Amino acid sequence: MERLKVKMDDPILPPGAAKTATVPVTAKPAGMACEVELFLGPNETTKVVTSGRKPFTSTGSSQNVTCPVTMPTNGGSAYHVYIDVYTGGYKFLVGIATEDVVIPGGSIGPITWG
Amino acid sequence: MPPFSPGEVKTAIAPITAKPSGMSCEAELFLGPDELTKVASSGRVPFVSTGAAKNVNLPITMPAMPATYHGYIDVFAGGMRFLTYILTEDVVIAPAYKVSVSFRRERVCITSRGDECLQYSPYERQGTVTVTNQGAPGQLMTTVQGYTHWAADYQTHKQCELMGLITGGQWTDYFATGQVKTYRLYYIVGSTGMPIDSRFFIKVFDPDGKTIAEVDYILPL
Repeated sequence: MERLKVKMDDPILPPGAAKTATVPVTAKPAGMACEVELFLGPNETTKVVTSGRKPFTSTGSSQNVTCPVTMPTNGGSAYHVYIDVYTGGYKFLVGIATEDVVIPGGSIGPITWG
Repeated sequence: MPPFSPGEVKTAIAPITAKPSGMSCEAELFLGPDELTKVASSGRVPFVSTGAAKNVNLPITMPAMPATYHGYIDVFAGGMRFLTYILTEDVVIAPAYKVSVSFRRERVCITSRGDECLQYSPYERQGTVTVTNQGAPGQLMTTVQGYTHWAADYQTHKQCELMGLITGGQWTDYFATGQVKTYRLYYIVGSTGMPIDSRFFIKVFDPDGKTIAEVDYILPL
């Protein structure tokens, strides 16, 4: 199943920050018991952090689903953002954000005076 | 770290490792009593992270007020501060002491009519040292030592052998910025008929005892 490109601005977020992604999901037909999971990682098989599966009922049209996720605590990396949507235990929609989440990190010094 | 002078422009070279690479970052160096009070700042200097240590130049004009300041460096990406650093050594802004010195030697009038001097003393002299403080206020010490010296020798060799101390003085005073003080010396010279001049060494010291002015006057006896 090919992942759909999901538009997202390039967010730079602090390590360990609790953030909530609002994901517009269109699931058809209406009335299905669905779940959505957003996770960050270097690839789709490595979940560094995840929102877990968040249940919602499809409306047949675009609906915002919120996915709270705590950012990785290790700074200095960029992570791909994946979104999987399930119904009846089957994954039927997969997406990847067009931009990565960046958790900056690093070090400074020692300085010299010129 | 040696003290800096008020208003001096210095550049801190900060090796900054920012990850991941390719981020648009900004670094700011600032000085202050705490991290909320920026007395002087480099402003935000942009750079792009390489993922490895990269020297970022942070030019800053030192505060005008002599004091000891903490130094802080903040690094931002996407407007978010993600690295903070405090310099392990404080930045000391030392007062900049600067004076100008002049010296005037005058003969002493022993007979006058009104404002007109009819006769000067062949032996008595009066010297006036004028010190003008052009720098920071503070307690400054001025010393003068006056000698006789063999004038012909100086003309020929640009050096001279000091022959004898004829006068000296030492004064310590508080100077406000811009304040001018004059110190007077009264001294006696011998009448030898020889080509002998007088030579005055004048020094001014800052409150730490460091010489901030040193002048050397050669004048006729």
